[in-house]
Amino acid sequence: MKDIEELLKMTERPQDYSDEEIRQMMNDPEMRAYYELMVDAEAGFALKRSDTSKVVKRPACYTISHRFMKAAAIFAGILLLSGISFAAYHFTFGASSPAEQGKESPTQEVRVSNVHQEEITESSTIRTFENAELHQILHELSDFYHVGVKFHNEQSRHIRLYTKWDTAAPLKQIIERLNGFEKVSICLIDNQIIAE
Amino acid sequence: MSAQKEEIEQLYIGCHQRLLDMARVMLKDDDEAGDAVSDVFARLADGLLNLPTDHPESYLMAIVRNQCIDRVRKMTLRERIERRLSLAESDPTTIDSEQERITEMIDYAEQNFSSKTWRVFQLRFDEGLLYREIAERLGISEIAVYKHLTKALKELKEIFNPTRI
Repeated sequence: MKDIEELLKMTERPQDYSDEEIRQMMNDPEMRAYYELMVDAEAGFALKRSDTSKVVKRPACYTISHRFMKAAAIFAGILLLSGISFAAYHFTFGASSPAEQGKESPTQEVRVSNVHQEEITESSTIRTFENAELHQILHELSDFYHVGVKFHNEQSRHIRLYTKWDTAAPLKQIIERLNGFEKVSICLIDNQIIAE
Repeated sequence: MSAQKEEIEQLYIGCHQRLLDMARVMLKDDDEAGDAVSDVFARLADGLLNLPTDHPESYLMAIVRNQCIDRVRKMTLRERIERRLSLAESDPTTIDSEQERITEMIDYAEQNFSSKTWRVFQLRFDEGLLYREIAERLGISEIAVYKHLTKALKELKEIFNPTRI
């Protein structure tokens, strides 16, 4: 049996391998099975991404106070969406009305555009996410603060945000700020960021 | 505008994105996926395809799917490896169950892998980062990246042993 590590290398840089080497590797049933798993893994993520019908619910851990956005916010931004979907979003900078606070958030349909490209720029302490998907932002946070990430709602992964992150700020504070976005509902429980 | 042209236009508006998404997954190339979908609509506009009155969207999905399968069949082994496309012959009748299986596989990985292994797995297969980039992003060695991926693939093979080989 050939080595999985070699297969991993070959799939990343097939140009380093001759046709014969590729053929030999793929003639090994074990390697071929692992190769198919890699193909399936990529397809699985792509399938989940391509589900553009987004239904986002508010989680139990969400509190209305999180919806305030301050001028000195560590996270500040707007949701960047295109076309029809743009109208589906609005962003609340101030406090919500008492009537709004008292009622349960309705399930809302959100269509996410894939027209824009995500761009992440980095400076010394401020990181800018341009039209980045929520899962990308949370995983950046997860890597940085060494906590886990869990999505209870598959669709919320693909909410797109324009936002800035001060890497010097504590995670709890950042989560509060992120919850200021209309469609974002996350909390930190047992060293895990939970997104609904 | 004739009734048929209007119907084609409505279909284009209603399901073009879904067809394109499917073609992207199958071909792993945005340009070629766009070509495959455009070809089908061009044939439709030229009257070379007869839209059924019932479920025309499903019909278009099947036509685009077959178009993608044909394109993949014509690729060399190297071309398939470069795009990380399946080497197995696609069977249109099992594609739906295959899709269900592979999305279940991702769910399993997310729920059962350690957070680090899941993250490495995701950075590689979801975000398409190079091993070196994953190592830099996570502050681990490239060897550790291989170890996490090897562990992930072995576990998945045990549970979701691909049947299409």
